[in-house]
Amino acid sequence: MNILFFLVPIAIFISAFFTLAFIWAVKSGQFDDLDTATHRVLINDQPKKSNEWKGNNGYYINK
Amino acid sequence: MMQKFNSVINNRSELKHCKHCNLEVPENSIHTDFCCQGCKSVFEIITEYGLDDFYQIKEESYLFNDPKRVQKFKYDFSYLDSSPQIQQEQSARTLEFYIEGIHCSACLWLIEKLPEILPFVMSCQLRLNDSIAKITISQEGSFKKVAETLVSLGYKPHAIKDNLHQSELSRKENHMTLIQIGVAAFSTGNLMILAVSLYSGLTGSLAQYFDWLMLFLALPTLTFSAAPFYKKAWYQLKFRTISIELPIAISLLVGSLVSFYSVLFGYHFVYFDSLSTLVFLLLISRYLLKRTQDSFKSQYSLLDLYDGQEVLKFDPDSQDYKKVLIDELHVGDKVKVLSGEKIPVDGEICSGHTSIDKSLLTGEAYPEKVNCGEQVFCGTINIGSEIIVKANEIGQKTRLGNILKETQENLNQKSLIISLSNTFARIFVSCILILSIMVFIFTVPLSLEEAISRALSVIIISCPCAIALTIPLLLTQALHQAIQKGFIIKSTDVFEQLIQIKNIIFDKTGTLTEGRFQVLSISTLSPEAKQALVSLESQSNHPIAHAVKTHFNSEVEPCSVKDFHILPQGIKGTIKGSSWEVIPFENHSNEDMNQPLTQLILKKDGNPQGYLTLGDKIRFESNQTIEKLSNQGLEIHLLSGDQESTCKHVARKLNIQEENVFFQHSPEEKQRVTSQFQQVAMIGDGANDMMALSTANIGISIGGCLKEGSQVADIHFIESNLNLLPELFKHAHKTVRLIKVSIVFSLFYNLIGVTAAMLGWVTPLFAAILMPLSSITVLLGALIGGKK
Repeated sequence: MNILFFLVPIAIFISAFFTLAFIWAVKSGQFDDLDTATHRVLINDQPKKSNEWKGNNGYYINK
Repeated sequence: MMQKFNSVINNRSELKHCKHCNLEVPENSIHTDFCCQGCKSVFEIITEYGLDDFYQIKEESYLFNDPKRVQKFKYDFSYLDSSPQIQQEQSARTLEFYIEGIHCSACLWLIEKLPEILPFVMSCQLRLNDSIAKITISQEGSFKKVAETLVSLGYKPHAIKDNLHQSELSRKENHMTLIQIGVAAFSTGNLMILAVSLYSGLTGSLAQYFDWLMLFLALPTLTFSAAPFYKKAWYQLKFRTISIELPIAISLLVGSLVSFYSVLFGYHFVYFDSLSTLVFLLLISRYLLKRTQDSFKSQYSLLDLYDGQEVLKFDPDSQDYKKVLIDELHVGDKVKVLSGEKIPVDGEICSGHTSIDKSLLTGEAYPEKVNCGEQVFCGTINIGSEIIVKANEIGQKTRLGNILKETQENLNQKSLIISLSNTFARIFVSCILILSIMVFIFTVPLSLEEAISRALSVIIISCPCAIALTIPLLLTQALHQAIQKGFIIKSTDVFEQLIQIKNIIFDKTGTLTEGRFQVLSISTLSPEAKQALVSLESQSNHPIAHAVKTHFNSEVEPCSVKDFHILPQGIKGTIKGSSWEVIPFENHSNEDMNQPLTQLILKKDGNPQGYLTLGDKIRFESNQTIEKLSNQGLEIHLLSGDQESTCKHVARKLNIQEENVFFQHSPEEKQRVTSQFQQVAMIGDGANDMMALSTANIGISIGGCLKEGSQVADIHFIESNLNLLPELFKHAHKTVRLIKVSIVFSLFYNLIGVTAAMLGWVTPLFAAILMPLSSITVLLGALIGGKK
């Protein structure tokens, strides 16, 4: 059972690492807006139709 | 509340739906696929940009708000690029917009496509919960173009005034709370694993090793994560008040010290796991409540919009009226106010005469005729013809500005009530302290060590965690239920205040009545008479004329009128050879109508052709609501800026006692009257009620009212429906009853715990079972009770 002296701290270090990752995620603003992201992922990008890039104007014009 | 958005665009169905907004196409629409020109042009622009995927996405998306027809409006956004709110960076500029008209996730998609439409837009991010888009553009770009594009897509953008400091602070606070929860979760999870092995009988050096590990794991939670409890308890002690945080902080501190001592000297009183679980659960329940409250706040609180309202100012150089921003006006400037526009300043009319709707400012339902040289106020609406106003006071110094300022001051002074849980905490803390001292005294004869351990375990086990966990979650549930019923409650103190309310003050215009001067009844008219009536009235600026024109809308085309005269009372003219007149008519037999009435008779060559009655209609649900409230023992008052006879009549109709009617009160007097009452709720709309709303214990604003009104009130009714009022009281009573039941329930657990501690039965294992068990059962009981 002596191996526990070694394994338990390792387990704790691993969970500490994830806690740090969580703190980083909070600080980088990933939890600021929980409502919009849930909808954003549901929007599928439709395959592009025959759009033509109209130079400097930058508008997509449908042909 | 969300409903599936089905876009049915087919010709087979009987009802045609607009291709853009999905509303029904009106029968007389000139377009076949669209309800209006606005929607048609937005559809064309969206397809032109190649963004017609929008409509496919829309079919699958959820609705947050009801879609509205696109209203085309012309607006000059050139002020945006010189806006002081723009955040300048090296190569980019950022501005936040509140976007009106967001209603589904397809809107999100469309708005975030901005960089594809306008190449100079570097990024565009929309927050759906408060409809705020953060738009960053390159230095060459212009926000004017961004705003114009948004308008062409059918939205209405408003730039937001700088409150970056405030939002940054609340963002930081939110981050801190989340990190505290994360750290507590880390400690709790690991502590549980270690604690289980200790409880199941681990001994020897490994047990001692685990004790030390537990000490280090618990330290960050008991210091960093639990900091909000210590801080609040300390802060409250400094101001000689006691809240629920104090017994929690005491239990946490005593528990930590006992456990720390036990680890150091090898006793078996290590409570770290229970304490850490407690902190974790409490933090989560508080976070949920705060999130719910914040989401309502962001929707219904003061968004300082930089709207750059424009007015037509007289420019002496070019001798013409020019559009300028309202901020650029000075005292003495002349401003042209078109029909239907809000008057932007306090001042006197220097040319023209018209009728103005003062109901927002004074509560008078009857529009007032004003002539050249008379005083008009900011916030009133010109409903007649165009006038020129010379500004005497502008901005903050206007009557409306003053009201806004004083309201803000009232809100800052509003006293906080001592909530139920705090009263509970006060009694609780003293009881527990006395109990533990008594336990100590009585057990000293056994042994000193035993006496100390029993006294301390009384303090630890009596931690009111069940109640501290349940109340925030109960309130969260109550707030959600409230919004489903149609009212938004902004502060949780409201529940306890509502059940103590003894007096209710109603505003008249717009609250008990519909707040519009309108045609109430009209006798059957021949087409000829109808046309004559409309033709005559369209010659006049009188409020009556306005109401009649609105009533007939575009039903009848007015024809030409000869010899038009305005009589001292009434109007007269010749149409197609016959002489027509509309004059007042006294008819006392018609008593059951909702007064105050203006009764008119239409005559052709002296022969009566028909009768009309005009007035402000009492809401049909007013009577029922007032009856219900008086049956509950509440004293009903009426407080209005309107005339005596009008108020008295409404009061009579609604069975409000005559001594409870206050009439012709200015906003300042309304505030004074409100402050004379104790335990008073005020319900009203409009700017003239704002000061009273902010003074009353509970201010309730009713749907569709002035933006500021819904911001100062504690409760806002989404719909203009007075029936919600008895419903609101019922909801408050239910919530408070649930809180009380939970308190009793958790006291029962405390009783068990304290008895066990006195007898010396409490061990860490006992605490680890009783504490979560009590919390969970009380919580479940309360939530199930709340669902009913």
